Amino acid sequence: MAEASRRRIWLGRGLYVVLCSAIMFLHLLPMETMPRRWGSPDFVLLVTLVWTARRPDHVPAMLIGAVFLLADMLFHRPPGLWTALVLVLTEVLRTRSRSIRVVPFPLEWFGIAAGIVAITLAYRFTLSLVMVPQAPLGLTLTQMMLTIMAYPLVALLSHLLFGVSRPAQGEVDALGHRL
Amino acid sequence: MARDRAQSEDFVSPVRRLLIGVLVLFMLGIFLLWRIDSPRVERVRAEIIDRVVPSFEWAMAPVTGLANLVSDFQSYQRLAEQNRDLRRELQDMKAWREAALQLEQENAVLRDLNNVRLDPELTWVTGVVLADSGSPFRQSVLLNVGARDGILDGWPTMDGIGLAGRISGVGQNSSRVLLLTDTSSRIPVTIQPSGQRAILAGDNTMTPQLDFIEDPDTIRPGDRVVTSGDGGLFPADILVGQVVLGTDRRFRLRLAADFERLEFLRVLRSQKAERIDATGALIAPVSPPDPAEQPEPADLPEGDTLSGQATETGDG
Repeated sequence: MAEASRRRIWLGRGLYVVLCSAIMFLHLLPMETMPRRWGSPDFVLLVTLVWTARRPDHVPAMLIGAVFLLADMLFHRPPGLWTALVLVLTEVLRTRSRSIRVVPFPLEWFGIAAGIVAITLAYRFTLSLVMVPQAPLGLTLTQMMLTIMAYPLVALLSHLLFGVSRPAQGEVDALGHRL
Repeated sequence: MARDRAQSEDFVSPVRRLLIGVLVLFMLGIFLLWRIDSPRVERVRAEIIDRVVPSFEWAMAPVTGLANLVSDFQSYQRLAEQNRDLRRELQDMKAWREAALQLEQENAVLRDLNNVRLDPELTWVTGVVLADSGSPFRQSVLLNVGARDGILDGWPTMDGIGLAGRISGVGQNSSRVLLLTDTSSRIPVTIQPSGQRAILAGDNTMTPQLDFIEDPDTIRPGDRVVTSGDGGLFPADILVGQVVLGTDRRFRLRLAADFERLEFLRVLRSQKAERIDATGALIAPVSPPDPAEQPEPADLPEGDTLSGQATETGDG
């Protein structure tokens, strides 16, 4: 029984990694070499947040660290800073994942939105503190807003496609484990 | 059972908290290291990209091809209209071609009269664009040529027409091109008829701006802009684009390279420009030439013309 539970967890982790690499792969496709006026939502972050709020044991901190460090490297961001901020946010979410499940969805959304705003501001503030040249503020703000607005969509899709839903209190899986 | 799970979910246990703290500090450490010693970390980054991205290539090529097919299909719908436009354009171009041929001949004659020697060492390597930067904040593309093909950091890249960017970051099999539109791109340029020097500064828009213009009154929209070769960064006289007046009343640049579809890029082998430091070094070498550095017999005619030119200058 413990064996089956462990397999389920590893399957979840594998799914998370595959999903994140697929998103990064799509981002890297050389479709758009023109500068844009708006930033598309950060889907890797969204998937991570949905997973952390609903299935915290499928996304261990080490895995999040590895995925985001790779994304930092591939997307030419300053390496490490965004990863550290995301790790802090997911840890906060993880300790509250039990209480997040019982509040209505709009409240969960609000909490996540506050988290995204906080790490985005902290990111920009730190970059300006160490005087790294930055992208225009409008781009960051549109990306932040779109990311927040896309959260329900990603939550719905991950519920429909991958079965990552908010477990009701005391809900058990097929083998009788508490979710 | 339930007790077990409750224990395993005791996320606030001190050991776990310590580990997370160490992980976060490690990430911040990487960031600080990057800030302090950027070139080394960037080299590690180039190495990682060099490993990861080409392994995606088998999947990237068909997906990109498919997407381009779809956009091509959309353009088929406007085929008749396009055909008419192209025919009209072709008529125009024929006239221009005649003019260009005549000018080329005239140019060749004038060059011959003036004994002008063009830089013969400007050869290029062409690379295929593998991937873009993947985020709207950075404007760069990844080419499939790298250190293996002799690419060096800082070499200019262009598509067939105009300058597109410069190499920044070389891996074994891939290299990154920082496009002119990136926020950290700065290129010294000359604005053509007036000969004014300026810095072309990318700002993540389609039209980078021209900074540090000495006398803006002598510049008009439509002026040609070429690289100036200042600082030995780029070879001089590569076409960059045309001056336009932005909506913010600043001079900006419409780039000559077609940034909508960068598929192939030329990397120019930019040779180190000769520097003249000491006065008089141009007329006669300061130290007697080393016999080991004597030109080979094949290069002798070149040496002859050079010395001929030197005497001419001396006479004049």
